[in-house]
Amino acid sequence: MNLIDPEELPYPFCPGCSHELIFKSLAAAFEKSGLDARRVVVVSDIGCHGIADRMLRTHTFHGLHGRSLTYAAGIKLANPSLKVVVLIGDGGCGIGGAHLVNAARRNAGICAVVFNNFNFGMTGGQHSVTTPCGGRTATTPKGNAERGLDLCRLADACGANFVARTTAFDPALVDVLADGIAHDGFAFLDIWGLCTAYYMKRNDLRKAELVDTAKNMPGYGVLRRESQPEWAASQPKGSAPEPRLDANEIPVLFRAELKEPLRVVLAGSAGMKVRTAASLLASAAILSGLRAAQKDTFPVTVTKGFSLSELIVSPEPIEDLEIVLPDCLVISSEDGLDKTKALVPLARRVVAKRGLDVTRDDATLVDLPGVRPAELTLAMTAPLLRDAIPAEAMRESVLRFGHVEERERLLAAVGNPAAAEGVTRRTT
Amino acid sequence: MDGCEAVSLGAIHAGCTFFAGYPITPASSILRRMMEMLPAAGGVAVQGEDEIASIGFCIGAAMTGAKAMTATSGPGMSLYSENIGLAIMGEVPLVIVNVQRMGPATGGATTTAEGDVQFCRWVTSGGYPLVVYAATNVADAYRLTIEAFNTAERLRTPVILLSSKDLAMTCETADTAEFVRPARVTRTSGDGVPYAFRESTDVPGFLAVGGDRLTRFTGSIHDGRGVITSDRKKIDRKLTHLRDKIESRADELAIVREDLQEGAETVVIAYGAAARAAREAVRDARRDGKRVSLLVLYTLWPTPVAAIRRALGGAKRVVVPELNTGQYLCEIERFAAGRELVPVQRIDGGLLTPAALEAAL
Repeated sequence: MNLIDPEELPYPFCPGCSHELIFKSLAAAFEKSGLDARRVVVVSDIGCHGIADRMLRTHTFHGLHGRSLTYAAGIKLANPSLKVVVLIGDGGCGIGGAHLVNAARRNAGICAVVFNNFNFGMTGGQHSVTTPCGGRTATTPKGNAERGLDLCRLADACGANFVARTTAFDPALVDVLADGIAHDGFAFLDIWGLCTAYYMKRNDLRKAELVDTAKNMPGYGVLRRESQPEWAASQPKGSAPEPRLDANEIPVLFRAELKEPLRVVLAGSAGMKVRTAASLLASAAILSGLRAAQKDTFPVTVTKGFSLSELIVSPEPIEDLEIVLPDCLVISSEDGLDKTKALVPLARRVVAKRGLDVTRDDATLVDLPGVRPAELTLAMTAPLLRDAIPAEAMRESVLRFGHVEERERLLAAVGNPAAAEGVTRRTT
Repeated sequence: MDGCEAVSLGAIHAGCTFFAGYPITPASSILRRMMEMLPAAGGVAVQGEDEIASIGFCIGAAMTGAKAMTATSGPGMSLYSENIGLAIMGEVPLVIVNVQRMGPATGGATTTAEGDVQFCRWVTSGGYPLVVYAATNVADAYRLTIEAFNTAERLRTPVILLSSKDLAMTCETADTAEFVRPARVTRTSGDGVPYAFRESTDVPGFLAVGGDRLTRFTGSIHDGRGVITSDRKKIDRKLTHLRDKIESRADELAIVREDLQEGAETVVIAYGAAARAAREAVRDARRDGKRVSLLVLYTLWPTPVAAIRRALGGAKRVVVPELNTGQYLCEIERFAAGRELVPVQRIDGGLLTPAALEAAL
């Protein structure tokens, strides 16, 4: 294939700019590769190289600065049969550094060709991540104080399967490019060149020095060549039928007598299965023809601290999700009490584990010595909802949705006679 | 079902084949569910190294022909901003779910707010429109996800679906038998050049990157062939087209629920989580014998002007409940001359309750 459309010639680059040499070598490398242009996508970044995008006779994709590797990755993931080549500058490798690191780490099936001329040619010759220490640019007029980034060592460290460093003047450039393009995994080619408009003018850098410096780097030519699975080809692919909307349908098997919404707050600690308790009761409500809404709150450190569930059950569709005045506040631990202190005086009823310092005289304090913490909140809450949700619905909910190994204990919890008695008794 | 599950199911039922996202509360469970469901159903779902990469993957995939979606919250939307501009300029069909949380900045990760309404309208540089929907519950989240895909396909545009923390993370009863499932829309293929259109309001036929006909994609200002241009006529034509293809369809894109009462002097115009309180407050007010109209907006942008005008009708008072400091109020104000505007707002992380609206009715 002929990569360059002859009608678009001549190249738009400044006289002597190395970009032209790299494009000519790319064209020869594509010719050598024998690829079908319709199966090739060239994704260009922002930078002088990107101006030549219009000359290319492949699919072309010209996006945002530094993000070319992300579009390329998306193209390859969506259509792994395509050959995806990224053209990017040293500037793009800087702003898109995270994408370079991750494309290499994932071994994304992309061939990235870097037009590395040590400065931003498009915007006035500012310094880039590869400007050598001491290099003079528009933004380092007294010499760059920063260290230049060795892109090849970075790509190599991140796991790129094919890594090469060379210059635009390398007689073997066509072969190196062809090898990179042919590679299945992430191929990274750092091609050094001259920016005649800016970098060359400000620094004593000529072709000979450039080539010598490149050859004296720790690694020149092909630095790495191995073949690990390519990212897109490693994606899991199933052929399951599309998930059904009613996959988790809960049938109405029982009848509830509830006339008004009931708002319950369950407050305990991480590990006490507070959310499970609320969820089993919500399911029991739905099994009884009611509506339910459950909102859980817990700290970022999920295995420590409070665990709070707000449960609303109602005969009508539930619009109001904010529980301002709970009908019942169930507190099963110190953490739960700390979290709900402000609700204690507001709740219509407070049921708390005996021993907690609940500052309300009419609070019901229950003591369930035989019940483990993991079932305590459920045992304390179930009797409160008994008038709203039939006991059979609660048992059915446990049988359908309770964890198999915990069913017996959960059944005991929803039907715990001591809890029922304790809650009903309204002790102070 | 919670709002995240509804969005995920909606996406798959809409024909989504590609998802990429980055973890962020309260949108993370969309990422988790898509990674669980989509590859199993033959699609691709990946977690990017950041939000920029995630939306970048989606744009690349969408241009090969995939139906792509990403999901995030406010801070992630900020990072999407530049690429949303690319998707507008490059006319990329793309669905973006923004599960709003309290901002600005990190704000409150698990705290509800709906303060991204104006941000999502003008999310990128240049000032060109896109389509924004807002859900009020799981049924809407499901339907609007499919509508978002369909609109993205039909108009070759990014479409944003707004949800918010309490809508996304509250598990509620879902009458799935009553869910609205719009028919899938398939992208119209082009047979000429990648950005060709005759009338300014037309949508260019799609040419897949990697397809049999060579195509060009670019985020630079371009002509019909996708080649960068400095021709002012061509620039004007392209940018006018970006506006016209959305704005000319404001009525067609308007998804609203009109619950208007003849002779009502008060009308409530609501969207998002605040619409839930509005529905209940209006129902209660009517039980008390008051005449109140209610307009629930599911399309926020482009502004459903005709529906808003109808709802305003002969009303003297317009109540606008919002979980922000009045981001849609100013839009309604444009059409409500001579009427009393009554904002009801909450920004402390709590939801508006029907009781909070009662006094205004």
